[in-house]
Amino acid sequence: MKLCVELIGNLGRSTEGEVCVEFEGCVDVAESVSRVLRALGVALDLEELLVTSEEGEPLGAGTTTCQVGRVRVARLYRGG
Amino acid sequence: MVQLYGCWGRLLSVDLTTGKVGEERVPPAVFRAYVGGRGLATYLLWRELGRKWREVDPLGPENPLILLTGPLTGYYPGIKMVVSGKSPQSCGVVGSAISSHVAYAVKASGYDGIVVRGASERPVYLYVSEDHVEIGDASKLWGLGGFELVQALRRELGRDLPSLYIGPAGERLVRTAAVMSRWVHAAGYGGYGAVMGSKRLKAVVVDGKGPLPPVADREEFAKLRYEVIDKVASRHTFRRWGTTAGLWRVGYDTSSEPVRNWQEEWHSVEGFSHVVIERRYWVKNPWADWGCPLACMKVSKAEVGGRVYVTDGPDYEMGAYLGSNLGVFDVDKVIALSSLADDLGLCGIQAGNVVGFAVELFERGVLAVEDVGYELRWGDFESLRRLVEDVAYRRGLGAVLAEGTYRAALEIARRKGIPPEEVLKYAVQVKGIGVGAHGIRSGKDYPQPIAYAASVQGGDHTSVAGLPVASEESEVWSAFLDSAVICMFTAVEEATLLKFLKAVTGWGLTREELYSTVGPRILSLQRILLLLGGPDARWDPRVHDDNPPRFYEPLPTGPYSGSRASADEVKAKLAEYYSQLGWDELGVPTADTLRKLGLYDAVEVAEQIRIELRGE
Repeated sequence: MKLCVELIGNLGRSTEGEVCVEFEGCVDVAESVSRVLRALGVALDLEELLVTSEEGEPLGAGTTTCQVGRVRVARLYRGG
Repeated sequence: MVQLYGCWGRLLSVDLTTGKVGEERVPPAVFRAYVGGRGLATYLLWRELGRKWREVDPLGPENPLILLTGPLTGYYPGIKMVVSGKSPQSCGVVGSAISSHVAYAVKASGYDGIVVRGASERPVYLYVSEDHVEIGDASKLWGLGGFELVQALRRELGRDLPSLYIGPAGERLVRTAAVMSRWVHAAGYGGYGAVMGSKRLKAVVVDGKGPLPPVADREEFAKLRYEVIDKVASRHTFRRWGTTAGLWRVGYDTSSEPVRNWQEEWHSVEGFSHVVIERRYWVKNPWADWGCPLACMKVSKAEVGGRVYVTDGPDYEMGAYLGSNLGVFDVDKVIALSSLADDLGLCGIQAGNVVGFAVELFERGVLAVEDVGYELRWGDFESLRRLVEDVAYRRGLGAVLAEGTYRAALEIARRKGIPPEEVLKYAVQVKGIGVGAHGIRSGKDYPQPIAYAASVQGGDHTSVAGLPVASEESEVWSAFLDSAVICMFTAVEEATLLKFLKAVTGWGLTREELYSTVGPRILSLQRILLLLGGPDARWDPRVHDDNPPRFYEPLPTGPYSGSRASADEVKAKLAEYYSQLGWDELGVPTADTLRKLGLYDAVEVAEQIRIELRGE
């Protein structure tokens, strides 16, 4: 399954804002996003990110790449 | 009549010149248009002072001290309020957020906020409850540091009540003074401690125990509240280490932490990271304010020179600005400096910014022993402690530095007879406000290249500008959080926040409306007041919508050495940012934009600013 990750702001600075990855079978979206970010060298925990649907709606726990093909990722904390 | 939910629609008004106490009504339509907190403060300031803004001295009696909650105060997990007024730093409006139980107590007193005008002749404190307001004598409290003051207020009032207060720095109108609460909380940005000091108002004590206003949809509110609490409480890293974890993440990992007045932005984590601090210094973890499921605060204790110091964390910004930025990598000493700033009522960010600036000037020979009275060296605790105290008490060079980094640079240049730009190039500030401890050069942290250059709150790292405007990256997002009022650390995705706001207020504020109308309305009005400025500072966007010169120097150390901001990229992104907000090429909101936002009375003022900038 293909998952496209839209990276907002500096997260997408080196990728023109989007990365698409093919996964075998249904994979947990949160885990997939985590893998994509690690591959890009972004050392952030998922709890520091807002991972939503394209429309900005929250994703339920356990949502997989078979249910969602595109997600939006933004940094949660602006400060601290 | 339109029913207001989540807010009372009234502010407590206190005039310290006349001693008069009253109430001001805020119509539901104003709340709907400006939300509350920062947005409402901007509206109130525009309405009251807009036409004469340039002539208003931020430290004069005409400038109101505004303490506001938002519609989500008391309902949304976490507790914050906003302190505002005309900023003695930027001469614009800053919505300076502070965690404080006072926020809840104000709402439980039957008010959405307190507006303090005028100035008392003698030191006073303000006591507020749901059925009683009193202006009390604070002669015996004047001069006390924060730690003693909290004890003294407890003795005076017979109980431990939530309070906002100032330390010696605010009393002396130090422009980098903060409004403090509960020993370590600070509304630092803006310099409102000095505004409070100019009114001789030592403390505001709020004893509210009444109910909160009704919510629009009780069932939905209860459901969403538990949903948000679950989400926030599952942020385990943040819950365990709070922002102290930034000493690893920001300094070591992303190379965006100030080191020796931003000459570097990377440091090693050996001996100076959150894990070291957790193991050796924390005596209480977690520590939370009212209703906060995240509980990100920690209490740390250290002994330096036979004196015991206590502070929170130190949280990331304190660790960075009173640690690495001053070349201090000894945690005991960072805790001591942080505790000292808390007690003196100084904003730790601005204090570390201006002291770091002074140490670099000393290192470069611009300042000498005869200017300071003693030698300044990176990491030298005694001289740094002394200089922080000199700033708070306006002693010697401290009186110059007490004006903040921007004004101090101009004054030092004048005294030395050198061109201002030769000193300003070491001042890491934007529009009079020292930049928060998140750099832009590595491109790996959250602030974009225009984060500070285009912010309506200058160097405020909690209110950065970014693209696209219709996203969490833009300052619209910060303006919304500060208006609603929500702590950024307990915020969740915008869709849920908007549902939460609807459940509490009944407003059907959509994402589209937030990013195209409500947010730009607040930012455009803040922008106009910032560009009006005065009386002692005025900003030309062609000069001042820019990064500090240091950010164009390459990083000398760390994994991103060589990285720096690109002037061409900054220019291009500024143009795009202005355009997306409906501002012209100078960054002045256009007449069409202002009309669309319902700011008809700002059209003429914006046009005047445009004419002045073009020299027509």
